[in-house]
Amino acid sequence: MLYVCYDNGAYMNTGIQRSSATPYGADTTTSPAGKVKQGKEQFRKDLTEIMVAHHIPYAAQTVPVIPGTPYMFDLYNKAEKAFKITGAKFMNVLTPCPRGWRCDTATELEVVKAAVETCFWPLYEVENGEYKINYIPKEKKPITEWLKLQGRFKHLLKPENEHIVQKIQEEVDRRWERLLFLAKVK
Amino acid sequence: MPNLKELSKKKVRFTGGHRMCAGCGAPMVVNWILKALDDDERAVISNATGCLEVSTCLYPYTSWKDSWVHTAFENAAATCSGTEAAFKALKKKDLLMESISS
Repeated sequence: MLYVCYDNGAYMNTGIQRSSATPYGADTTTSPAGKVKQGKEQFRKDLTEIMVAHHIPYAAQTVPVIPGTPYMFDLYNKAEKAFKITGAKFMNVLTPCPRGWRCDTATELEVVKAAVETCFWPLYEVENGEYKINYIPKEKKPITEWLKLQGRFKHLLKPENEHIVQKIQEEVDRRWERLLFLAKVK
Repeated sequence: MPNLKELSKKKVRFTGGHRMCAGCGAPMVVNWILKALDDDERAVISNATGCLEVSTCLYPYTSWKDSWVHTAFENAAATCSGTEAAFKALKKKDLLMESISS
């Protein structure tokens, strides 16, 4: 059995309510950004790591097919690999939702690309406990590259919210460094 | 690296005409994952409630060419493991209507 989770970061079907998968600071209907609060106040729950902790044969994190990128076939390759493995397998795919992310449908894959390049959404797989990072950006981009493309993070780019962006950057860095350590890259 | 030309010849398991939003990422993810199956393989798909589920099975239509079950949020995996157990049991008793490999 292959379990695929398409993560669009909220309960989009019922009208964009915040979920455990919603990123920090995102504006949703149940974590609205306004005068008092600045969007969701918890970091995103790392579902892939939760599945890895179950010690299943295969767990992977990936993105949809983005033509022209080195990781264009990452989704296909991982699915093909997963289908051949016996047992419980898991894949977490960051999937764009133009309604919830408040982004343009024509350029939504650029947003997903930004998630990979900023290391917000690293592409990696864990096979029998062995970590492997499938793509390491040559130059890790600042998290604002991912935030600025989406309307749900618009409020974070105001000068008075710089400390929130800083906080998100620190958490993304911490998770990325941890992953590099687990994959024995560092 | 997979060959795009060959992949485009693969069987379409998830058809168009569904009601997902324009620009939604979910249908393309589904298409690419199902492309990784061989054409003669048959899939059982358990789909938890959500956009993908409500928008692809508006009665009396369906976008899915494989066996497809709608499940609640929390038990998509349980349904699938139950189906797998049933499949194995039927195979053991030689009660499958046609030969299907697991």
